[in-house]
Amino acid sequence: MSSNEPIATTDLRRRFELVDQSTLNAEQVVRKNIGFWSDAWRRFRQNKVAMFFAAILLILIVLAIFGPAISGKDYITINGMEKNIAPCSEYWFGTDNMGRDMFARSWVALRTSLIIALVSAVIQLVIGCVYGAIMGSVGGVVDEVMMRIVEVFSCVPNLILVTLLLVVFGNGYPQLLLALSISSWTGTARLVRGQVFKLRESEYVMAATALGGGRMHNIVKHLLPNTMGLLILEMAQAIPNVIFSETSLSFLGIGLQPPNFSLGSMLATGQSSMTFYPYQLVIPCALLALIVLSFNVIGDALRDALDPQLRT
Amino acid sequence: MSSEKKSAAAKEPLVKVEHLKQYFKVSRKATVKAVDDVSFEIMPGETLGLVGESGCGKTTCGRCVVGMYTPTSGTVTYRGKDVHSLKGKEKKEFNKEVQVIFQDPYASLDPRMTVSEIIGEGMDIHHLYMDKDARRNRIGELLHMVGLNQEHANRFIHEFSGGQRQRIGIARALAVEPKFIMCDEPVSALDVSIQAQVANLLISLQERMGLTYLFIAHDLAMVKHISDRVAVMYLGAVMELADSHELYEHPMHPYTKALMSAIPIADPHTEDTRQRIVLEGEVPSPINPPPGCKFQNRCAYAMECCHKAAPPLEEVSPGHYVACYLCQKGKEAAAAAAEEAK
Repeated sequence: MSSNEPIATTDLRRRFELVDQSTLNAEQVVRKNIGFWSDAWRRFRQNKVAMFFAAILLILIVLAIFGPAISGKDYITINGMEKNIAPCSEYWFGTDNMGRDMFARSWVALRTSLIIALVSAVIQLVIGCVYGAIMGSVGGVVDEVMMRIVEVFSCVPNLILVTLLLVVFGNGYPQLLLALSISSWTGTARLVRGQVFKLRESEYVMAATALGGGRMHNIVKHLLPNTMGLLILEMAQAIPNVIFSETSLSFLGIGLQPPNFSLGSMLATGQSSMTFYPYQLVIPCALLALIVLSFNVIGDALRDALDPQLRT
Repeated sequence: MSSEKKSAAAKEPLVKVEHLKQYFKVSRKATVKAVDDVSFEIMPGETLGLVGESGCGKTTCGRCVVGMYTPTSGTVTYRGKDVHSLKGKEKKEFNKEVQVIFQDPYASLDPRMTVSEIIGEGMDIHHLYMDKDARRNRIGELLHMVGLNQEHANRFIHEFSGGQRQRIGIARALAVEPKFIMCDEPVSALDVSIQAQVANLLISLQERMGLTYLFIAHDLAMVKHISDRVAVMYLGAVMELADSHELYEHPMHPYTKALMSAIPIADPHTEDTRQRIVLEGEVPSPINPPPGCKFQNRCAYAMECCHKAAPPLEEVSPGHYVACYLCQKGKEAAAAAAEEAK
């Protein structure tokens, strides 16, 4: 036994290194201090798929702005001689049944869809936020009544409500925006209400109140910063939804009417000649799929990046 | 300590709670009587421990005392002023002098704020500094006081462990130079080794700054360690209140006796022979507490008078208050009669 001991100690010495206390800077900050947003951005960047789709989205947006100018052809001139030409060097995406350049038309349609989606999502967010914040912060009877109103709005079948609106008020951008936003804000309102309730009861808001912070202090210092991530997420998820709704409406023929057009109305025309000229359907379809997919993937990645629970 | 306490006893109480009741409506018919007629006093410089099992109204009581809840009835006075009718400047002054340390260090700190923002929050509200340098220095000083260092100031909460977070919570409360701190189970969410650190930190801060604590906990050993006096709560009412040694050495109320017998002893031989008083039944719902004494349906000595009216909290020996007919002098005869009947 005793003869073994020295061997064990030397063995240990070889394996372990003595550490001087002075070199132990346990509390030294090794990593750079990072804020909430830069941390979220760091984690978003790590998501390769999301970065790929973010790039695609960026390209699509740039093309939606400058695309029509690239081919040098305008998107409204009807050319009876050059109807239904398949994609070629002259017409990159071919022409439609009235001889109009599909390349230019696709980007203009995408632009229309994007603008409608963006404006509608902003409307939805603003109304939902204000409404939800009032519900959450006032509470009591006011909350009850406002909640019932929300329920009524979200019970009515969306498509019927929208169709009715468009039939009564006619087609056009303002009417379409109204129709798209009329019931979509209810989800946001509920979300914000829940968040405000949660934060109001949270211990750090209680602590701020105990420190003497008033209502404004709590809203500016705690409620807004803690709701921001949620709202960005809501925005990222609302946009593809609106694009889809608008497309379906236009596809059904109750959305935008000629001469206005969007991806949906292009799909509708393409679908009627699908058998002979499939490219007229496939191209707008592919664009729609790409843009919605990008938004969805980015939305998912944002959720992961903004959720403090998933921090590493 | 004892001479200090005696001089404190001669002074006016810092906080006086009288017949405090806090009911919550849970539906149109049912009301939860979270705190039901509680009275006690806290002397300047002392620590009053408040113990009791989960859901007995400790936290609610504490939050009423610091003005976070508006009580159903009863009064809380701080330095002779009614806490719940304070307005404007007085209210702000009260908020500066009375602070809270929360139970859950994960929930009580805003995840979007840096440590310096959190600690500086109260200083910003009360304008306690001259310029930015003074603010930074003060934050560094506070961090040092609670055993952290200046380098932590720009970090976010998620970069800290539970014990460190609780220290930040303590620093936040100390930032406004309070006189009275309500500690709402400040150590129960922490690891046992960290519990001792934080409790000792609280004690040393008290000695250094002359703080007064209302220390809420369910850990009896911890309460004994930190408190000068201890109040035992059961189902929204105070059952017994005494000097901490007196209470632990000579518990009088049957409920306190049962509680004391449940404290594990860190010695295997004594632990083996420890006699546990095991209470029968469950805590009745605070929605429908039994009439009379709250403890009667689980009490081995329950008498007829216990079913009729709740026993008042009476002083049975100097500084030792008990709410039990069994221990009160006037009813001693009745108790003896009950014993004989058995």
